[in-house]
Formats: sequence, structure tokens, C-alpha cells
Amino acid sequence: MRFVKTENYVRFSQAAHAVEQRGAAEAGMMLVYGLPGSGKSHVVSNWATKVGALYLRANVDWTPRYFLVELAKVAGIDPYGPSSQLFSVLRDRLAGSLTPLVIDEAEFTLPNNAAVLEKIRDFSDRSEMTVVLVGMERIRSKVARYQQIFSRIAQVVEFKPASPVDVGHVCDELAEIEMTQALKLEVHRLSSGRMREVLNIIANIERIAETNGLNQVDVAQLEGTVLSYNWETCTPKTVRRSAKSTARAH
Amino acid sequence: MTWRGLSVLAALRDGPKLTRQIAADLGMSSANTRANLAPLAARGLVRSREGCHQLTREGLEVLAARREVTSGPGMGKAVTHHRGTLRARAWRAMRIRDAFSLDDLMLLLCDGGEKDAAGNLGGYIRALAAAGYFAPMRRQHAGRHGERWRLTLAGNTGPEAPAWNKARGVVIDQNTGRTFAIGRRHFAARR
Repeated sequence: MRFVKTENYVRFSQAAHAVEQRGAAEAGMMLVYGLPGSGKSHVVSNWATKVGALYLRANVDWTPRYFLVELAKVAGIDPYGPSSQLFSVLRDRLAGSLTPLVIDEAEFTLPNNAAVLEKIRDFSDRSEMTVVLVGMERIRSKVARYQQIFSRIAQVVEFKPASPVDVGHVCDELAEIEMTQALKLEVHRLSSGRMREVLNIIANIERIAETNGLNQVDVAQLEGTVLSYNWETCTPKTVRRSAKSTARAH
Repeated sequence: MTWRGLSVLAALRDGPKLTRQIAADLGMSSANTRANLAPLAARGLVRSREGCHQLTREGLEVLAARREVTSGPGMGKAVTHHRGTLRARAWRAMRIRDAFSLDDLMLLLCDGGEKDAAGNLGGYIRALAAAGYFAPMRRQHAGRHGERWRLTLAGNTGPEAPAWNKARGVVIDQNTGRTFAIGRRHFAARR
């Protein structure tokens, strides 16, 4: 079992590298956005563990002070004193350290005229830290309203639905049973390329395979089986043997 | 550099001191003092934070026994500080994630080039669990996800990964200076 380097991962890595090599020191921010379940947090976490980035998950009740306290905690700095003092201590400790900062669920930095995001921008400007903002698909347009912040964003990466090739790699790497090519394509269709959904479907297939004592599973064995749900329309997603998947399998 | 490890430990006997205070006590330059402190910290004998240094429990024991402290290799006793090791990355992942299992960590961290990643990470997780860093998550079902854990508030001690020294059966936390004697038997039978 290992990390699967998807197309989204490759694009994110290239963008992160480009930000590190940026020309303008103050343009050190990066925006990552995409649909829920597209693997944003997973890929960014993998990168964060490699480079030793400080990783924060924004909360609905974040304030500039709350952000500074959380940042101090993950950096191993005592989070005490007035905000201005804490800001100075953090800047003193982290400036020039080349330690990037990741803010997941970055939508929560936008309320109150983006007060928290302004604080993050200020911190990024003064410390010259690379900041990676991770959010849902609408965060791009929301951040774009604040030109003084958006102009600091050097790279924008959209996480797109996984390709059939990516889903195939994930099935190969994670599934404890062998899946035929046609079934992998069916997993891609049922999941719409959302990684979180792919993992759920693989778990369901494994459970069925275990119950029936199967080592290899094909579309034909699962035809008509419900492997997922479309919660928006409240309809089950069932395996079907399409001409397309059968043709690709051969 | 002149090695004066035991003298530096003795200078910290009365409590935490700054680098310049130790240097003044021993009549050494600050650079030489820092060069002496680094190996002591790497062995878990001294805890250093923001230029302030204090003895760990192990440091106190060494000082009390007047054991010779050398500046050379630790013969398996040194604390690993390499930031790119699988364990160091696993610690960062534990701090990032709300909950995790061995499979979760492998899926996030491993690229297939590691030697016995499951054994390495599994042992590290069990060692930290035995030292009290984690709280178990309720298991929803027995299956491939196995045991799940979460890093507790008290267990999230800081950015430096606690070192698990299997040969000695101890966990050394550079963030707090604490040493946990876990023993080796607990890990011998499980893999």
C-alpha cells in the first residue's frame, strides 16, 4: 500500500515548485481548489509531510487571533501574549526558515471581509513564507474579490476529477483483490472520478469479494449490484456492463 | 572543538541556562558551547529550545552516575533527528490528521521505496501508543483499516518527532525532554 501519484499530484507538485522558485518574494501564496473528495487534502498532506510544512485546518469560528494561536501551537511556540507580540515572535521564528504554511478549509478565513486571510497575507508578506490555501471549488472567485490578496497568489491549481488511468492505479494499489480492467472503468464511472468515492466503492467490492470467496472480480459478477449512492437524487448507483467498458477491457 | 560534554551537563545541574550563561560558567566561546550542546541534545541528555537548555531525566542520570559522555557515534542510543525519515514524516502526518491507522499512514507517506515500511511504522505507532501519545478510536469493523488512533492534545508535544529506540526500548521526546521506558518485550511478538 502506497501513495498514488495522480495527475492532480503532478500538477500540484509542479506548481509548488514554481512558487518556491518565484521572483517576487511577496507573491508566495498558492491556491488549491476543487470538488469535495477530489483528493486535495490527501495530496497536500503528502507534500506537507515531505517538506515539513506547518499544517492548519481553519475553523468556522476563526479570528486573526485564533489563527495566530493555532500557528504558534503547531510551530512549537508558546501561544501567549498580546496578538501583536505573538505576531512578532512568530515572524521572528519562522521568517527565513523556508517552512511553508498550509491552510486547509480556507473558506473559513473569508468571513468578516477576509480578516483572517488578510492576517495570513500580512504574515506571508513579512516572513516571505510560502502559503498554500486549500478550499472548495468556489474559493477562487471569492478570493478574487480581494485584489490585494489575489495578486499575491503565484499559482492556482484546480483539482479535477481523477482520470480512468488514475482510478485504475488506485484500484491496483489499494484493492486487496484483483479487479479486471472493465471493473476499474466501472469504478471510475460510478465514482465520477472522486477519490473519496473510489475508496468507498473499493471497500464495497472487497466486502462482496470476501463474502463470496472471490480472488478476482469482474463486472459480470457484480452486474446490478449497488456500490454507491447519488445522495443528491437519492438514487443508487449500480454496476452495469456497458459496451464501452467491455470494449476497453478487451 | 574541545569536547567537554560532562562539564556542560554539570553546568546545567542547577536548572535551565542560556548558551551564553553556560559559556561564561565554563570559560568557553558560545560557538564551542553550542557545538558541545548539539551532541548532548542528539542523545536526549539535554533539551534545547530558543537558546535555552536544560537537562532531561537521562541527562540527570548520566550526571549522577558521572558516566563518561563521548562526542562520537551513539552506538544506537542517539535520537534520530533526520527530518526526512519515514518516522519523522509519520509524526507530521499524525499531527495533521484527526485520526489514523497504519494503512492510512502508508497510503499517505510510502512511495514503495522504503524497506519494511509496515514493520517500521507499525512498531513506531505501537511504541508511541505504549508511551501514551494516542487514544484509540472505536473500531467500526474488523478489516483492512485495522486499529485507528488519534494523537491526544497532551500527546501532540511539538514539531520534532519522538524517537523510538527499539534496541533500548525507549521513546525520547525532544519537544519535552521526556523519556519513556517502554521495554522491548511488548514489541517482540507483534508485527
